[in-house]
Amino acid sequence: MNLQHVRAMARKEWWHLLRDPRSLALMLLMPTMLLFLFGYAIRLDISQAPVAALDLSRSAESRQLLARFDASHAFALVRAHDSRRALRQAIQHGEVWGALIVPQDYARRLQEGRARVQLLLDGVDANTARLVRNYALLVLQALGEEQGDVPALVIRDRVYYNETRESRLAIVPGVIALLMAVIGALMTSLTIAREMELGNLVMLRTTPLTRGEFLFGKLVPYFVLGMLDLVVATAAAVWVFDVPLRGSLPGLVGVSAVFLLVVMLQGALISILAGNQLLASQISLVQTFLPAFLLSGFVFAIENMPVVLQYVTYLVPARYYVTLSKAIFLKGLTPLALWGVTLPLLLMLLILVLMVRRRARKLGLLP
Amino acid sequence: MSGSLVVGLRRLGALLRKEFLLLLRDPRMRFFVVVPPLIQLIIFGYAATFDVRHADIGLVDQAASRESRSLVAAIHGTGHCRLQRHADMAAAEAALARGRIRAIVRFAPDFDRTRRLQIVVDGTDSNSAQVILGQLNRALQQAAATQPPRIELVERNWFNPNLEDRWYFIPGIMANVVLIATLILTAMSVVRERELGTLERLMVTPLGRLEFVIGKLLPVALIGLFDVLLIMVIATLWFEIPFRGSFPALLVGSLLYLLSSLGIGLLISTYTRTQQQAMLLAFFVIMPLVILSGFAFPIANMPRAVQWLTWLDPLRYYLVVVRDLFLKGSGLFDHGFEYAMMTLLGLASMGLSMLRMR
Repeated sequence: MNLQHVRAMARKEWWHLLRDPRSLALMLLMPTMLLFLFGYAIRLDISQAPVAALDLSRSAESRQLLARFDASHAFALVRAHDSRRALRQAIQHGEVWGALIVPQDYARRLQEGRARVQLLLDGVDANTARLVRNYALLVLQALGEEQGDVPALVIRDRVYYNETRESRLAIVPGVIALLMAVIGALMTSLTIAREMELGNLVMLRTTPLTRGEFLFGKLVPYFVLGMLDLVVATAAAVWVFDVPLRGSLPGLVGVSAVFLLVVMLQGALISILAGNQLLASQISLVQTFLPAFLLSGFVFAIENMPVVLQYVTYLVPARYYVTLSKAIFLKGLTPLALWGVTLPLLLMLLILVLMVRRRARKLGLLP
Repeated sequence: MSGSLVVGLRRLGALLRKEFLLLLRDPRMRFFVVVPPLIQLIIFGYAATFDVRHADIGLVDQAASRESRSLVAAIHGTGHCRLQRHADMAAAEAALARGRIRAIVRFAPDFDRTRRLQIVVDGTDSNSAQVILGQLNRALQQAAATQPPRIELVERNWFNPNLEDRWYFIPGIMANVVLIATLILTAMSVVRERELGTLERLMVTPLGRLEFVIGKLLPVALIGLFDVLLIMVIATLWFEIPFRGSFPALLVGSLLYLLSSLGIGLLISTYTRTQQQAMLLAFFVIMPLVILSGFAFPIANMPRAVQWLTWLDPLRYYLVVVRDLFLKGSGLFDHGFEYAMMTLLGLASMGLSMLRMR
């Protein structure tokens, strides 16, 4: 491989990037936007859930019960419905997430120590329904204990690595993986497919440029851009979103570089196989972005997936990177301590290099 | 007048034929219309779940009493947990750090006297952490209770009695797939003509601007509708999700939704010159549209300012329509507001792009 050739190719690609400020701006803005969107817009916890309250008991006891729900940050009770029919309508139309019904005999049965409260939930959003139900149970348990229930167990719970229980902390490190997958795969798949589509490759065939030099030169500028994005994203994670970086920065940069190379090579492979930009972009979206979002354990835990799909996730590079990123940020581990996760990523890099080399023959350049 | 209309329609027909041929001639493109939506549907259908059905839980039982053993049996009885025993807390914590287990349940040596027990969960996956805490809490309290609680909660879940996450996600996928496919196709097929220089060639033909746009959009709209039907069939037959609402309402809602997604695609094409730019910008727009739609993350949990932004998201309205149609069984006239908003956003984006295309 002639370094001068590589440099020429990379320089050409740089000019290409710089001459197209819109694309460049998008590539630099995208990570920041994604980070802010995910960091601010996504809350997996609920607070102030709109739940309709229907008090059929109208007693001091029932008012005390509802006051408890009011006091909990999880609920925002709505007292605007005076019949079960109205409640049903409100849930049907999505005005409230559920309804709490205190039956007529609540006060009497509470005296006897066997009161009941009904909770109707809109089950469409199953996860929210589960969370609302759990919070309701907590409120009732606390109230019951105050009224003389002897707690059978005292459970003290702690959330390690995220003591304040903010979903932001768990999400932001994962978003960085998503960013790199997008920037890496999308960019590279488009740039090579573009040369193929516009017929520029045919012209390059008359030059002494080899396949390796061509690919290498193409990838260098995007690699630099991707690493730049990583720096921006990490800085924003630490300083804007207050995500603690407990592990080593060099470790993070190291695995990020490997991951970026992996997704870039994936993009290169896709574009060589697809040959046109529209198809390449679609495939790289389905091949890299979606798996990075869905099959990486970023928001959806892998162990809850069907076993077949769990095996599929082993083929998704983002799976390893998300684990590493979360572990380095929150758990303070090093990539070496997690060699079981780092190694597959390196292996993927090797396999992809070999695959791209094989397929690059299709480019028709010198070997 | 009617003569020119006939000519116009003939021209439109010619362009439509060209567009269809171009889209479907390439076997890879035919593949693209069917396979990526299917992959998305299947992966989402199986992968997207917030519920925890299998969690590896570390157990540190230093009490080793009859009581603690019966509680351990209760955890086992939930059917959601695989227990791993650890000799002490340090070993369990190491396993937690390595991600081998999601949570630790610890009975201290003096458990029988104090009735205190400790649960530690891994906060690096905040949703699983919450769900596991809830499950363990419920199972343990229920098993330990000697008498029923003073205030019992009777719960019922409407529309989705078993709280299946899939029922929530799959109608949403329909909205996502259609958005991604049609928006990108529209934007890129217009920009492609520009990049390859064929737009200039079209400009010297008698083809009008409106005809050009309609010729570009109609095939994409048909592809979008095809994807809606494809997903509808698989959702109901394969994933067995009930479709309780009115089918005409699905068609009306989808058409209005397509109006806005094509409009946004067209608008993107007017801001870009190359397919690379178009793709980037499309992606730049799709991501917020998806995240802000309430597709996976409820809008009500977002900060107020972000909630205002979601009003501009056509996906948000379409999601309400499809979810209600599938699960709540709504009718043709139940979604006037959503229809109106989608029409408004569609007309606004179409109008703006027509202005810009001049």
